[in-house]
Amino acid sequence: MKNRLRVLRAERDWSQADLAERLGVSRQTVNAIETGRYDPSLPLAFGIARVFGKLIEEIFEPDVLHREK
Amino acid sequence: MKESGPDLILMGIGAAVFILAFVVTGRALEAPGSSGALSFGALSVAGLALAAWAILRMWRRQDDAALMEAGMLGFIFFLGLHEKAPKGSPLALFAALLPLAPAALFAWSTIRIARRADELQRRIAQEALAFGFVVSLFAALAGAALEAAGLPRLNWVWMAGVLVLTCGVGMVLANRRYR
Repeated sequence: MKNRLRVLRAERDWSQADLAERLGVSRQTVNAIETGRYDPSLPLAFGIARVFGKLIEEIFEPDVLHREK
Repeated sequence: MKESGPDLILMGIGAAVFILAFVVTGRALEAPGSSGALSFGALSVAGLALAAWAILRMWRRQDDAALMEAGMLGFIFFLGLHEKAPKGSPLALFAALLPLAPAALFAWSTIRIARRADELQRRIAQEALAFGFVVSLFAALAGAALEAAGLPRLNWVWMAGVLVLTCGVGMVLANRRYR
């Protein structure tokens, strides 16, 4: 799944650690989501959307090509 | 974790002092008329106190990962120590039960880490446990097969060590996947 986490974080000038603290997760988790190595659970995805004041679909985008394989 | 590095080293030094002094104390007790059992006994207590103090510092810092490592190291250090004391003596009984203390520390810190982990860390732990379980199961089957083929009987208490070690390796591998 693709996401705009890094861009949104950069817009707010937050470090990965800052975002991790706001979400109540580890920095490793934020990094793994950003790099696409880990897809968050629905509650965490809602948490991320809330922190950035956006809808989930505005942040996450399904990797269509990957799903069709 | 990095903060607890010196405490882990201190714990290792304390445990090493304890083991050496304990072995000498056991020998002094076995040799009739030999002196020094008391002084080496006191030294072993001091070593144990040093290790306990280092663990207490990590406990206060709530560094569960370091406590888990300390528990694992302590268990490995103290396992088999009872063989160095006179058979059936209170010292041997104490040494036989001693590995249970770091094992309890390991179990307690592992449970606390699991409770405090976020969803990715839980997945990493799950993958590590799966890896450790499968590899340990395979090692146990291989050991049993070798025994059946006539190789000397293995001491199965080491399976606990194998399980911990393989889970540790699984943890490193899973962490690398999500780094």
